[in-house]
Amino acid sequence: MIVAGVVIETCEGAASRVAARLAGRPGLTLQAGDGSRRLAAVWVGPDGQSLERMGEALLQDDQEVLGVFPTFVGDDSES
Amino acid sequence: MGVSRRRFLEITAAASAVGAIGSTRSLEAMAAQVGGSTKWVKSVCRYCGTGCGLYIGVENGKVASVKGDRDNHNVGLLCLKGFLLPQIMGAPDRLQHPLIRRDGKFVRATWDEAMTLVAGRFREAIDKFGPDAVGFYGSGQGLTEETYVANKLFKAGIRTNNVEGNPRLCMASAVAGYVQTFGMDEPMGTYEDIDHADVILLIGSNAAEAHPIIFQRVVRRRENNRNVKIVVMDPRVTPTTRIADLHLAFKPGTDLAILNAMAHVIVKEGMVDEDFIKTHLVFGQGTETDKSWDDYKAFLAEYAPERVAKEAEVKAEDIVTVARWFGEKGRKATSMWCMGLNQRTKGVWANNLVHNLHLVTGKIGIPGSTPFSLTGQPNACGGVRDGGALSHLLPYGRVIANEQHRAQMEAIWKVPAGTIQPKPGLPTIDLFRSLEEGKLKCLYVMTTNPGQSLPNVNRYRAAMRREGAFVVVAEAYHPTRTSELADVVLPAALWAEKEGVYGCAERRYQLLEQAIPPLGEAKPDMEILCDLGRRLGHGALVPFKTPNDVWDEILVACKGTRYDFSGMTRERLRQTHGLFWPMPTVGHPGTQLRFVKGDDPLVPADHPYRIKFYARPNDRAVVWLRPQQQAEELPDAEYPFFYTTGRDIEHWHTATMTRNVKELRHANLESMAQFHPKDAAKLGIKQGDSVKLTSRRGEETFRVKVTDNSREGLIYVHMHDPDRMCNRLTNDVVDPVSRQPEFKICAVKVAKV
Ligand code: SF4
Repeated sequence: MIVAGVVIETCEGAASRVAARLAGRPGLTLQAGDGSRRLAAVWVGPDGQSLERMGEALLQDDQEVLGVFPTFVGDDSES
Repeated sequence: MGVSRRRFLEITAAASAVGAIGSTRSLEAMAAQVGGSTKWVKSVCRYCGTGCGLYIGVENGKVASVKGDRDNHNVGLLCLKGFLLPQIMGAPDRLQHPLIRRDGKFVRATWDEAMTLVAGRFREAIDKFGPDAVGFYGSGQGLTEETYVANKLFKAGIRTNNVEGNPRLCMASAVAGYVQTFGMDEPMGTYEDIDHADVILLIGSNAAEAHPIIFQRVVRRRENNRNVKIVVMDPRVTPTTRIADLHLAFKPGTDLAILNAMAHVIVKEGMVDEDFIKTHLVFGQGTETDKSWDDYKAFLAEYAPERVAKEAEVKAEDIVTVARWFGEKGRKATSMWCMGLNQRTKGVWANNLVHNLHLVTGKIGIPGSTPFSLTGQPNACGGVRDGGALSHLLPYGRVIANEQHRAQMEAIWKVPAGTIQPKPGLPTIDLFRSLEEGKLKCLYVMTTNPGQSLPNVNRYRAAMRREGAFVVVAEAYHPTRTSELADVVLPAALWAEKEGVYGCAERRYQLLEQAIPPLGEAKPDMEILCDLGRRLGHGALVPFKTPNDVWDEILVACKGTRYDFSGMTRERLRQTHGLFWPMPTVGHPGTQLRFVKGDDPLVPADHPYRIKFYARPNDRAVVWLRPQQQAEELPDAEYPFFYTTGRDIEHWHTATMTRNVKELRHANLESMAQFHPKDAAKLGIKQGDSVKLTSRRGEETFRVKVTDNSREGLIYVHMHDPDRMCNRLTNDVVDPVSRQPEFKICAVKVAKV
């Protein structure tokens, strides 16, 4: 499993509205927001490709989302 | 303490993302989690009536973080307000010691000085003018135990029924709607109905902002089943309407006509449940249940969709479509509503009409089919509604006007027969008018902000500062728009600093455990009330040392009533993540579907039908014939615009708490007047201009936001901003039955400034 930190960039002033809409999205856990246009979240999914798909889906589904930027990507497989 | 690799990665990922947006506070909290030094205390979110379960993370004696409770209905989710709760605890405006007004200025006082003054003024007013010269104004945010103590102290000790609470501004029409139709208050279903519904009707509710986690569940239901239809009825475009399959953006105040038109289509097209109608329903008009099914059909004849569509300025085919989706046999329908329906002078009628749709189709008491009133406050149900802390009520379904009910409570409270006054006290608006008239001398305000939240607020602000009036405000923050008007401000403990029970919108009672000691000299409201009781000579009535002592008495008060939750011991509440009433024995699992055989313990196992409306005569619910009626005040030549107010996701009620959260303060704290682009063009105003809005009651200046979210001719302002108070303009006329004010609609004029 991939565990990623992501920043979700939104339209100015839309961060908390977007946060409410994302609150239950499978695999995504919101962590914090700057109150205006950025949200910090943790995303867990099967692989890197699915991380990209999740980003694309967010951009497509929510017109107030401007971008999804990974800040950290780690692999969960225990050694 | 070890951390799994997965957990380590999650913390690192979170830290990197949070770091990227520049929030060091959260980084610290997460770093502490790695070390395992956080103590997690089970609690409930402090804000809306959704009642999300959460854990409070305590570090070094302070609330450092929260996380959603995965075992609660919110499955670990919180909205941003809930997530940012830690910031409200140590805010700079937390009041840490009592204040007394001297020569127009607040000065610091000891608890003894403040309470001696409060008790002295109350005693003097009671002795000179009688018990009805004093009153209590509480809140759906108070804990159940606090509200119970206040109710008991004032009704059985002081002997006045002037006990009110802000649910009168919020839920009173829903309460009266349930009582008129089903014989008792509160929804019969739960949030789980959302997961089974095929049609979800949201009317007068911007759930996406006012109840984000419930809305999330609606979205999830829709994602899991593409056949599910979401209907939103609201004059405005809101974040809730974004997911609607059909948005009926009707002209403000025409919803009664639309609901009757839906019933018209349902009846005309044979989508009714004839058997259910025969066995479970009666029909009524006014206050009598003397009408028939045929009378109802004749009444609906006036509400043909074509005619109603013209009046409501919507498309007739949309009304027909919504009615068909709702009524189609075999499809399950859940309706949810909130302030848009309740805060009206015809709020009770609007509630009745939603119930009618469920009753005539038999879409009730089946998983996925329920009429469900949402609530605005975390404990509007548990404390004030169920607990009977309104001027006409007594605990657990009892009413002041009923001699037997008074006798029952007198026995439970161990006071002499005849102690409780038989005449109901003053409902909220009348209570503040009594203060204005000088009849009410002393008012105790607890956990609420009427100096900002009452309609036509200028009038009642003046009443609170009237010469001779004595106002006590128990509050965690100072100044608020109410505490600034007080004679004495008492520092109340906040949320994580005390223990008690909240009852959320779905009959789920939950225990909030104390996580940290109160800040400074602050005290839990229950302790302050017990102190006042002792000083007024009613110590024996309120001998409570802990909230648990109060809960034990509450379990006696509810026993044998139709609310019976006497199986809900403190220990069970502590172990679980919320319990549903009725729950008459400790072993009972709780009731998901009230009035339904096999689920509700108050329905006998051998009842001949699946449902028993046991709170109504002959076990029959009422379909009420309620005609369309306009709002009290409509636009005219002098005041040409509709004016409406509501909630935004970032702020809660009057923002006393959320304005203290950095992220939320920067988002939409300032109320703006939202105009439709065509109106803005006509008025020659643009984004960022300032306008003065004036109603027949007051005026306020706002900056302009031009947005096609607004309907042409309708101006929307959100309600939170303490500096630009929308309620200077709103209408304080009330519903004649529920006494809930007409917040939602009035007429204004606009001047560019
Ligand atoms: S939805 Fe309501 S109860 Fe849940 S976290 Fe948000 S404000 Fe709190």
